[in-house]
Amino acid sequence: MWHIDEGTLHAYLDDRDRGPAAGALDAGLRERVAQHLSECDVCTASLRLAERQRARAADILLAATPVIETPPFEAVQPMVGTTPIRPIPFPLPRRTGPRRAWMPLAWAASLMLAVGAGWMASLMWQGGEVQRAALEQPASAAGSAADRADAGAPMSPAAGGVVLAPAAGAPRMAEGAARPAGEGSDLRRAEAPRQEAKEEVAHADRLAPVAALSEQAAGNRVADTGAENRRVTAEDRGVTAERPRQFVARDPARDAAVIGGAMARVNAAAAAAAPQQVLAESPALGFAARSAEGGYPGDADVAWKTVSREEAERLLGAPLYLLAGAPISEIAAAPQASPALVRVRQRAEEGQIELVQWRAATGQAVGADVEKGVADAAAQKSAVDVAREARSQVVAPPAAPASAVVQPRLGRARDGGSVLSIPAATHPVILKAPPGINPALLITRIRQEG
Amino acid sequence: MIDWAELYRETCADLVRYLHRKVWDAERARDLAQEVFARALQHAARGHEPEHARAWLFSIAANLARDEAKMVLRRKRHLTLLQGAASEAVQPDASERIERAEREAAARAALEQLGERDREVLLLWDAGLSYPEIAAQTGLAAGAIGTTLARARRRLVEAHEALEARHVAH
Repeated sequence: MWHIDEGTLHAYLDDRDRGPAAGALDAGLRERVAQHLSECDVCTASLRLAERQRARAADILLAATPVIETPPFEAVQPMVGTTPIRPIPFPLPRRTGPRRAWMPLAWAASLMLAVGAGWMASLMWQGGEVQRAALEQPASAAGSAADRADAGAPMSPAAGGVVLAPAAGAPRMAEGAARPAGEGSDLRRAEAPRQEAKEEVAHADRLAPVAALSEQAAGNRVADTGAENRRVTAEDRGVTAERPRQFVARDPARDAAVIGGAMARVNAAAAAAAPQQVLAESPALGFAARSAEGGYPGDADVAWKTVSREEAERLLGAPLYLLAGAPISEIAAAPQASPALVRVRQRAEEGQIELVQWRAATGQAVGADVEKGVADAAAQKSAVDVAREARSQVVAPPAAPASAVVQPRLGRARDGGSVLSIPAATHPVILKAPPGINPALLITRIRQEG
Repeated sequence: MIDWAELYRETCADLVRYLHRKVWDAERARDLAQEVFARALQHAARGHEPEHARAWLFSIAANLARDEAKMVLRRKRHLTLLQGAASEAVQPDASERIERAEREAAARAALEQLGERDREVLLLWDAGLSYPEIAAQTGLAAGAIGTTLARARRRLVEAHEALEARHVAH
């Protein structure tokens, strides 16, 4: 006696549940299976087992089902025309060749890797030569450390301040290279300790070839800094090494690969009906994302006082950025800080989040404000701080190219929570997530209403 | 002529569910589902109207989910600063949320133990596609879909039970 196979039994059950639309069995086969099941106890038992498996699998899948709230169709229509067209094969092409047809070419990849490693090693070796030369000239090295800080490079966490990546490193670097020598000598009067300068130059030299290579590989040199800037000197390397790496993306609002890109498009439709600014939509994501590594304004020793939302927005000069859908538990401000800070606490599903925000000062480099505020609060200004502060007062914010997106950098707050700096459209924001929650996952929910 | 608004209403939730089980982020899944429709509408505006629109949408969704997985891998490399973060604070009033998250994690772990083809067929069926549509999308013969589904369900249940047993043992 023949028996029905497992696949046909499942197809029979699928067909029974969804009807002919399932296309699981043709009518003739369905009748034959039904007939056989009425006569065969073995197959009937198998059918029961298949039913249980089916139900159990459905339960497991149900546990992996989110609460689905679909936006209206009208929200999709504005996205049409902004999505890059790619050929979509249908049906999906079958694989024709052997699965690992590329394997014979692995030797070529290994060879390329070896050549690349040798090249990098030679660059590192050359960097070491320059480093030795720099160490033999400690006075100039101290100057270069001050210059590097002056060029807007991030402060080391040990300095006790917020580490801020410049909005666009290359233009700043160009400015730093073109600055008159006299200004540099002013900064040297900050009298940075000689040993610290040596260490910083050495560190910069170790990093410089790697940074230069990564940028070259990415094909993403933002601005031509000129022949002078390409000189291999300890100063130059110091600037290059600390410049944040960038990657080129398409227009953030049109690129699904950019965090919040799709959300931005969806909300563009809603923005037409109600004036609502969506953070992810703003070109700010095309500017530098700053890091709060090593410090967080919410941790700073400043006196917070509860304020109304209106008062907070008056301090900011713009509507608050909020995490959508999370009730506000507190709005506080530190108006005596420079600049005045506003802190919003919200109860999100993930736990309590904080959004520290402050008014962006006109004409100042991005990041100068919070850096100054935190540094003041900590009252620990090193020579590097002084140099950087001096520069932030005189350099206008560089115009970041809309096509460049700097990799978001994350930091840590005092209580172990993670923080993410967001250069939003109207003013800067630092998002602090509770421990264990990645703040980058919350970025698409941050909006500005009003 | 396809009524896209109607198709959207019928399919969007299924697409979100399908994409969620690929990217494991409800918000992102919703974004991607809309992206799927935006792309489909864009193609339709150029005169490319597929015969099986619903299956075609899932083809686009599969491509987008694949791209998303690559992007997540890249992003993971960038987020190394978060490695070794403090353990998640457990709030007593959040026990239900934690339980739900555990159930989802177990389902995800079980699904990830399936072969790629088995998982794809299972998810497409669960998203509402018919046997012929699944066959067209995966390149399998229509007659093989039942067998693949049966194997996928059996392995999913076995993997989930094994995970539960391990959880209880600990």
